Order: sequence, then structure tokens, then C-alpha cells
Amino acid sequence: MKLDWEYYWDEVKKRKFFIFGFFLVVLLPTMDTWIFLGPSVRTAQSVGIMPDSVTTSIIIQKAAILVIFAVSWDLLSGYSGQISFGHALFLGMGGYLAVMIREGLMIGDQEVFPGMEEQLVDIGGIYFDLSVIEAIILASALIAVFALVTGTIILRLKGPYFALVTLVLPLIAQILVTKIWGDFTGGDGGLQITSQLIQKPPGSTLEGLDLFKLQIEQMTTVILTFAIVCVAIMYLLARSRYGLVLKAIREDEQAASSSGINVSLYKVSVFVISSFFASVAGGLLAQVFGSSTSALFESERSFEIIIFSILGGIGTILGAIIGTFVLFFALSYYIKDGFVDLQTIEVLIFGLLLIIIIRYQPRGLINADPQLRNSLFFGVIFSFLMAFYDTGNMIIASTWNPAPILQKYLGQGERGFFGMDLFKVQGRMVLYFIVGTVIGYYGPELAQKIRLRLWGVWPSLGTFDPPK
Amino acid sequence: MTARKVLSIEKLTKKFNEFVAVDNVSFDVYEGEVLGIIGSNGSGKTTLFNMISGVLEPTSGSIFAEQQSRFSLFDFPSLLKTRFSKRVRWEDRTAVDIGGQSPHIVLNKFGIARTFQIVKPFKQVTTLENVTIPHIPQNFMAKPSTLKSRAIRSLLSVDLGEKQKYPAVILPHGDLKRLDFARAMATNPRLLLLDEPFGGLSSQDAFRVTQLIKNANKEYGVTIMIVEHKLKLLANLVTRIVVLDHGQVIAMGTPKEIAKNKDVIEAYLGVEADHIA
Repeated sequence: MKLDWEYYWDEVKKRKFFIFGFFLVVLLPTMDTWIFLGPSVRTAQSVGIMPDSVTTSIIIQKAAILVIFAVSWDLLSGYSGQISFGHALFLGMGGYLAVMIREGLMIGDQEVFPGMEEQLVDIGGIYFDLSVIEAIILASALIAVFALVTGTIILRLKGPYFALVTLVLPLIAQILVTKIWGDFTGGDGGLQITSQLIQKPPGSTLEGLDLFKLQIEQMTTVILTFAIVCVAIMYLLARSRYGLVLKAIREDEQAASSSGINVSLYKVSVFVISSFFASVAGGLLAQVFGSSTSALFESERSFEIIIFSILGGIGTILGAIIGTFVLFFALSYYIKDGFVDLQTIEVLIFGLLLIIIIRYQPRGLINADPQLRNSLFFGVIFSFLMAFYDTGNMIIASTWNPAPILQKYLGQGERGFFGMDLFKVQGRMVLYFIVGTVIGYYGPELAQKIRLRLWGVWPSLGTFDPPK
Repeated sequence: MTARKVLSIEKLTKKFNEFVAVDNVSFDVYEGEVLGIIGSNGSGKTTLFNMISGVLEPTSGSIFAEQQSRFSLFDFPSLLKTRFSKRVRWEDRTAVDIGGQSPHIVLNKFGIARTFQIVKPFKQVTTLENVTIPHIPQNFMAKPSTLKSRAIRSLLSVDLGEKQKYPAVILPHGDLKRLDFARAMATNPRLLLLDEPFGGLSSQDAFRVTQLIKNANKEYGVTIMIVEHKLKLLANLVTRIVVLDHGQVIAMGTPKEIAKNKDVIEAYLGVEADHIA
């Protein structure tokens, strides 16, 4: 038996970028449970060099909100081709309006409206204030009406003129909320949230950090639910004939019109839908930050999601999702929180990545060559599993938690998800490699063959007959 | 029995600043005919088409056509516009002035479809999706299977069935011309405006397009207006020809009459008169 090492080395070289990214995104967060590296990683986490479970939860929250925002931008700009450089307008408006509706509005001593009453509900063990969610949806509906009015006016502009107007609008809004309407928008300090979305469960004995951890995890559940519902609606819209009509408008407005399509109606409708979901994202982001400030209107917010969507693949909803998750995770884990704690580094990294992607994969990662695409797809799944593992019980806390189940059957808790284990399957020895999920197995007697598969990374490492 | 009118153009004029592109043009189009429009470059043929199909608004004059289907709430501005536009009686029918309406209204409510001189495919979507799009406005609530079968039928009718998964951007010019034709026919039109259907085609492709036009006219009863420079191909197709020169109609009649007309030979045909005769 002779292994063709040159062949394997070529396979490694072909996938070097992915393998590096894979280890970076997937393996590092779990290293605290490894035997040799574990203690040093735990030290690093306590010092703040590497993220721990609370940090991971907050990162997932922000990423999920940005996914809603990025997908709503992709529906407007990627599908219908109306490039908006100021989508943060709706993010900011959503944030401010949701808080105003919930908390009530006072101008001077005059009460404009009193705000909503607290409605505590318990769904799946999560105690939360339903009125906050109602306020977010109500605010988004109001902003959708606002978008209907502005959209009918500004969507008459074409190409760069539309883009320029959208670029200016959030800047105007920022000045309005900080300088001119400072009396009731809180000026530079913004509007503080006094009523939390997640409340302490009655009769709970948790205190301090434990309660904080629980609330953060429950918040993540609520936000992920929002993200899944919103993205699913937009994804179905984009896949339907409605999305096809939008694509036609993007490709050629005149030809679309001559095919019997009411171009202005579709353009305004997609503007309204997009603004609605962007406002939902804004309302949620205000909840995560604890206040709505004028930072929500900043151009950085708009450009961030444009870069995410372009990296993922513009005009494909999936591209925006993957781009946002991959980049936001990678950046939050290893660049911003990990190595350098500078705000500017984010923009620098984004810019460099954008240049590289536009040069080498102009149609985005989702439209990249199949192997790279699959690698990324599985990479995201792996990293998501890691996130599950890292935060323990996140989504369906008591009913279904994959971590203990997988640990029970696949590996020891001490060593976490990564490990190689020997099993007896029908009286025969099988060697498993586990990273979050089973990535390969070796069963010399079972299959008479070695199969090493890293799904997505490796189609197959090849097979060979072991010596007898 | 006299032929029924489909379209009636009256004293139509279009000015681009001082330049008069179409000058006081009047003629009628009758049901079931194939009307050719010829003229030298810049004589206002495409401008005429753009005005009929709603891309440009006429400076003065009117284009009368019969309304085919009812307006819905979403057509609000256009609904208001037709309310105040001119009307004329054609025997037992009423025709409305469609000048200045938007293209989708002209197509959906008046049944006038068009193709473009320079092909305008939806480049990044597949050929099948290209022909699905014009089916959508009329079948918006239809089942996906119905929509798909209709789209495939229109694609098969122009021999592009085997290329249904190709993005339109990679198709050759001949295929794109036929795709354009399929898209126009997919809207189920009453009157079809073809802007240079043979432009840049080889003789083989041109023959296929000729067959398609004849088929649309004979089988589906679509009235057709063609702007074309290839007079040899046009002479086989058309029943009547309108000749434009500097925006004015200088002659109208059967191909043979046109070939003998002295004004036309002087203004446009020259040696090519032999081709038509």
C-alpha cells in the first residue's frame, strides 16, 4: 500500500483558504474544552482575548438582525436593481419609532401619546413583554406607509440619481434627530429603553450574572425567531413570480414595461416591503443596544450590509445571509474582539475583502465555483453548530439540545465535540472523527476501506484497501 | 364586407425641440393585415412605433385603439388619463386615444405588443424565465404549473426549447431575435409592432422569422406592423406598405403600387425598386 502524498498535498493547496477559515471560524471557539490547549484558551477567554458564551450570544443576536437588514437591502437593490446607499434610514427610523411607540412621547409637558402597557407573556419558558414586539411591528407598518409616500416620489429617479438621494436621506435624518428634534428624540444621547423585552421570570431565584446570561440567551431566541420568519418571507417573495418580475425590472426597465409589467407599481411595492423589514431590524437593534441613538442612521450601517451582500452574492437572498453570518462572525470573533480593539479596523478589513472579492469572485461567494461554495455552506453550518455548543442551550432550551445528545453518543464532555473515538458497531471497530458533527469515519473491517470525508471540504480523501 | 379597424392614427406629430420627427401622419390599420412601414434612416419609423407603444408621448394628434380589457385599481393614474382622453366611434365600437399612456397599459388594456430594433433580453435570467415574465401580468394568480407550461409552449414555438436553461446573455443574435418575438407573442396581443425583425440576421434565420410572422398572422389572427429595411423579405410578407420620408407619409398601397410610385423611387427606393416588383 502506498499513499500518494503529492495528490493529497495538491488537494490541501487547492483548499488552503478554506481550511484556514474553517479552523479559524469553527475550531477556535471550542478550544477551551480541548485537553492540551483548553486551559490556556480558558485563560484567554477570562482575559477577554477570546469570546465566551455571552459574547457569542450577543454576536449571534447582532448577526441575525443584520441578516434581516441585509436581506431587505438585497431584495430592493439586488433584485429590483434600485441601488440604495442609505438603507440605514429605515433602520434608524425603526429604532426610534419603536421606542417612541412603546415608551410614549412627550413634547415639553404635552403628552402626545401615552405609550403601550406592559403585557407579560410566557412562551416556551421565555418571559417577555409582548408590547415591545407589537410596538416594533406597528412602527414598521408606519414606516412602510412613509416609504410608500417617499417611494412614489424618489423612485421616479433612475440609476445614480436615486442612489444619491438615498445617500443623503439618512444624513438629513441624523441631523433632524440630534439637532432639530432633540426635545423628544433625546439629542445625541438618544432614546433610552426603560422597558426590557426579556423580563425576569416570576419566582426565579437567579441573580446577577446567571440571570444576565439567561436573559441574553432568551433574547437570542426571540431575535433568531424574528430573523427566521422575516428572512423566510423575503426569500419566498424573491423566489416567487414577484421576484422574477423584480429581476426583469433590474435587467431592462423598458423591456419589462413592454412585457406588460407595471414598473412603477412593482418598484414602489418592493421599496415598501424592504423598508418594513429594515425597520423591524432597527427596532430589534435598539433593543440589543438598550437605546436608539443617531448611530443607527450612520452611513457605516448602510455600507456594512452592502459589503456583506456583495461578498455573499448580490441578487441572491442566500448570499446576503451567508455573507453576513460568515463575515460578522469572523470579524466579531477574531478581529474586532480578538486581536485589535479598534473601530476603524472593521472598515479597513471590509474594504480589503471587498477589493479582493470584486477582483476574484465578482459574483459573490454564493456564485463562486461549486467547491468553494460548498465549503462555505458547510463552514457556516459548522460554525452555527459551534455556536450552539458554545452557548449551551439557546433555542429550545429544555426540549431539544443537541450538545448533550451528541456528546452522549459521539464523544466525552471533557474533550468537547472534537475528538476521535473508537466504537463497536456490530462487533467491529469503527473510528470516528468528530468536529461538531461526524466528519469522517474509518472502519477497516466494516467497509474494508478507509473513507475520510470532510463534507464540503473534501469530496473524498480517496479509498484504499487496508493490508490484510 | 369592409375590414374592421384595429388602429387609427390621426394627424400624429412628434417634435424633439425644433426637429420634427413625425409630421402630421394619418393612416388606419385593419384587422388581419400585415402592414409594412418603410423609409430612409431618420424618417420617423421608430418614433412612430415608440408613440404607439407608449414609450414616447405625441406632441399632437391621436392614436385610436379599442380597449380590450377592464382597468383595475392598480392602474389608477392611467385610468384617470383614459377618462379624459378623446374617443371616437368605429361603427358599433368605441376607440380611445392611447397617446401618452404607459407601455404596460397599451399592452395589457389595448393589446398592442412590440419588439425592439436592438434586442432587449433580460440578460441574467434564463431563456425560460425570459418568456415567463410577459405571461405573468395576465396570469398573476395562475398556478405555477400553468404558468410554466404556457412559458414552455411559447419557447417551443420559436424553437428555443432545448435552450431553456441558458441565461439569455449567452444566446446568439438570431436566437435573441426569436426570443424577443416569443416574448411579444406571449402577451397574447391583438396588434404586434415589429421593429426591424430581420436586423442583423442571416438568410436562414430571416427565413425562420418570416415563417413565425406568417404563422402569427394566419394562425393567431394577429395584425402586424413591420418596420424593415430588407425590402426583398418584406415584399413576401406584407399586404400594404406605408412609406415615410422626413416624418411624412408620401405613399401608401400594395407593394406593387409602391414599386411604381415615382415619389418613393426618388426619395428612398432607388435601384431597389426591382426587388419589390
